[in-house]
Amino acid sequence: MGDKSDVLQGTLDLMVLKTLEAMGPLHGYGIARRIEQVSDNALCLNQGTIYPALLRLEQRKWIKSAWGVSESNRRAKFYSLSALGRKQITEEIENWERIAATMARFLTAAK
Amino acid sequence: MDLIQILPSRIAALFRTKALDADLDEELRAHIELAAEENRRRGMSAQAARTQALRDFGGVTQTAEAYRMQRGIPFLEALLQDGHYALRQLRRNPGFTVTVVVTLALAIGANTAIFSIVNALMLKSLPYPQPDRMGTIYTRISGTTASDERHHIDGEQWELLRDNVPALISAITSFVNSGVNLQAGSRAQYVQGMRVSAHYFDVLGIQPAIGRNFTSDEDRPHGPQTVILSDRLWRELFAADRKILGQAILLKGASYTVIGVLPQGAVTPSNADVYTAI
Repeated sequence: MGDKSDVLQGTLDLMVLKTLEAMGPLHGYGIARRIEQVSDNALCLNQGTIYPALLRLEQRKWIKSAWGVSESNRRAKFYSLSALGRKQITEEIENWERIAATMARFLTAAK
Repeated sequence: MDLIQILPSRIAALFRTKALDADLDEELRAHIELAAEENRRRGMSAQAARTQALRDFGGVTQTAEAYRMQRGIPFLEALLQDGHYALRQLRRNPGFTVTVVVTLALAIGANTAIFSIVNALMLKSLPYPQPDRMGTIYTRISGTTASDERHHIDGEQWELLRDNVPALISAITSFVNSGVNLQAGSRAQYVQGMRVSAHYFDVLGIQPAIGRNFTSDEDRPHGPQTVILSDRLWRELFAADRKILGQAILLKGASYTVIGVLPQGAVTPSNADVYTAI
C-alpha cells in the first residue's frame, strides 16, 4: 500500500477510467465535469488535478489521446480507453475493494 | 515498478519540452474556455463565467508544475537548469573562469604525468611470465669505504652460482648491446647483438618460435658458435624464410649457425637483433 497521495492518485485514476468507459472519448474538461456530477459534487477537487492523472494513465498506455473538435467547435484533446486500459479497470476495482475492506476491518477492530 | 514502465516516455519527453509545453498550454486554455462557455450558458456574465472557470480549475501554474513533474525526470531537469545557470555565470566572469581552468589544467596534467611514471615503473609488472619470481643479483663491496653501490658480478662468481645453486635459473648477458656487422649471403647489415648465457631465454620465459634455445654446451668457452635471431630481423632480412635454420651467417666476420628465431612480439630488456652464446 502506498502513502496517502498514492491512494488518492489511484482512486482518481479509477474514476477517470470508469468515466471514459461509460462516456466514450471525452476531453479533459468533460472528464472533470462528469466526475463532479457523478460524485454529486461531493468531490470538490480542483479540476486541474486530473491533468497529471491523465498524463500518468497515458504513460502507462491505459488511455490514448488525440486532438479533436468539441461540440462548440473548439480544438481540444480527447482521451479514450485503450484495450489495455479496459482490462485494467477490473484489476483496479479489485485493488480498490481490497483497500476499502482493509480499512473497514481496521476501523471496526479499533473500536 | 511503475517508475520503470514509465521511464522511456519520461526520457523521450526530455527532448521535446517545447512542443509538449505548447501542447499543454493549448489543452489547459481549451479547458478554461469550455468551462467558461458552460458557465455563460448557465447565465453568468462573460467576466464572471471566466473567473468561475479559473476558480474551479484551481491553480493553472500548479497544475502545469505537477504535470511537468509527472512528465519528465525532474531531478535531471533541475540538474540541467543548474548547469545552464553555472555556464551563464562563468561566461559573465571571464577572468575567474580562465584562472580556474588554468589551475585545473596544471593540476590534472601534473597528476597524470606523475601517475604515468609511477605506473610504468612500479605498478605495472614486467612483461614476462611470473615476474614476481624474477630478480637481479648484484654484489656489494663492503670494507673501508662501505657503500650501497651495486656492482655487477663477474664471470667467475656467476659460474659458481650457475653450477652450485640449481634452484636458481640464472643467466647473464653482456652489459650492452654491441653493434655487429652481419653478413648473410649477399646481404650485409649493421645490427645490435647481445651475448647471452644458455638459460637467458628460460629466465625470461621465452622459447624460440622455430629452432631451439641455447644449451649448456654453448656456454662453454670455445663451444659451438650459434646465434638466435629476433623475429623482426628474421622478417626484415631473411623474409621469414624457415630454411635459415642451420645456415651459417657471418657476425663480425666469424661464422655462426642460426639455430632459432624468437617468437613475434617477444620482448627482452635489450631488444637486440641477434643473440649469441656467451
